[in-house]
Amino acid sequence: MAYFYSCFGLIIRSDFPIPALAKTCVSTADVLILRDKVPNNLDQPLKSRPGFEVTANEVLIRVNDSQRILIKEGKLILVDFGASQDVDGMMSAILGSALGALLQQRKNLVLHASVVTNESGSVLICGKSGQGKSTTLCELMRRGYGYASDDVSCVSMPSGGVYVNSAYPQIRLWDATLQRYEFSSDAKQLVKSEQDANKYAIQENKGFSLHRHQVLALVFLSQNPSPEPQIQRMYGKDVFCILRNNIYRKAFLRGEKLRWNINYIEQFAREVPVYQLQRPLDQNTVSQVGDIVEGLFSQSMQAINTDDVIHEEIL
Amino acid sequence: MNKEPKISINSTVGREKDLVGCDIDDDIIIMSIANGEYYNFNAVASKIWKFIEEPHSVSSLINELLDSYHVSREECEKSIINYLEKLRLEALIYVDPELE
Repeated sequence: MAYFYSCFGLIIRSDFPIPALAKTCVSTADVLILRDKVPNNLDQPLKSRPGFEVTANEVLIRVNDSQRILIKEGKLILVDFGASQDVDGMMSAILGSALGALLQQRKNLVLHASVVTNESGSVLICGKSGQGKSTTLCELMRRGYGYASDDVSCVSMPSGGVYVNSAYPQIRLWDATLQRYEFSSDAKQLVKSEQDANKYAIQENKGFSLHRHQVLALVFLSQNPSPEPQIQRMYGKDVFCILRNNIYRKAFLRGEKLRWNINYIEQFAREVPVYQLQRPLDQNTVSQVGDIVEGLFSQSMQAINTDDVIHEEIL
Repeated sequence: MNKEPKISINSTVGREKDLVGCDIDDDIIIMSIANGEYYNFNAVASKIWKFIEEPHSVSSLINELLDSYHVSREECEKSIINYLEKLRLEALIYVDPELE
């Protein structure tokens, strides 16, 4: 039995179901996901850590003692479920690290970001865990915006423009945030536990679209002691550091992959404004943060309209 | 002991190959392909980096900088040679000592 899915602008054929991915009726696959034996080591790895190994064309991920995933040449993912019954942990690793590694092998800039969309394009929201990426995304969805990703964001840069390809219809939220918003489905799956808080994955089809969206801006969320949220445009090395630090699974990038990733960062920085949005510690400012991010969409619309006028005048 | 030759004004310096650089809003950032470390250059360092895109003698580099900055030749030579030593230690440049 074969299952066909669409994500990141690719058609995926899997020999086992991956419920979080969006199904498609297209049956010409770009990527195969197969259940198979996976070795515990790679030959002559460029990098070797307890959780993974990397060669020029392969990434091996050790999910736990018996489960492993091998990602090869941007086309093939071999999944070894081993003796473990932990299907949820394996699914999480496929959706995250494995697809992230595959997209890197296919020469995309892969960022750890939530992606808010509307008809004019998308705004990428980055930040460390717990800074409010998914909460901001939910706040904007409440206001009628859509989304393209809440974890792995695949940025492509064909000649002219920077675009993000939609991922899969899943949002990851901490327990406290989950109560604040309404979702079309009650189904939730625990993905992470930290101290006294749990994080859940919600399958949310409402607002998700399988399109490519032009990137209008990138926002880096962080906290500071100021009383109000503040946004500031970043330049130069600060932009480089924000982009570099938010590359998804950057530890997988070795050798030549580092070279073209830096070239992509340069191109991204040339075409997309990057902002730092700082919000107060321990205060609920989600509504103000939502207003600021919403403002970036209208700012970009104004810029596009001005360009149109200039273009018309030249003509 | 295998000691690196001393850099002098007669040395030639060039960029090491296993590096990738990017220019964002006139800030130059260099990354080592070998270890993933990255370096941000200030304005003077950026000028030096751009100048040695093709290998050049240290003396021509110093002449280039003296045209742009009000500093004595002696002071310029001392600080540039010190700086080039640092770049060599970080494996960002190579030095050919023999060119006269």
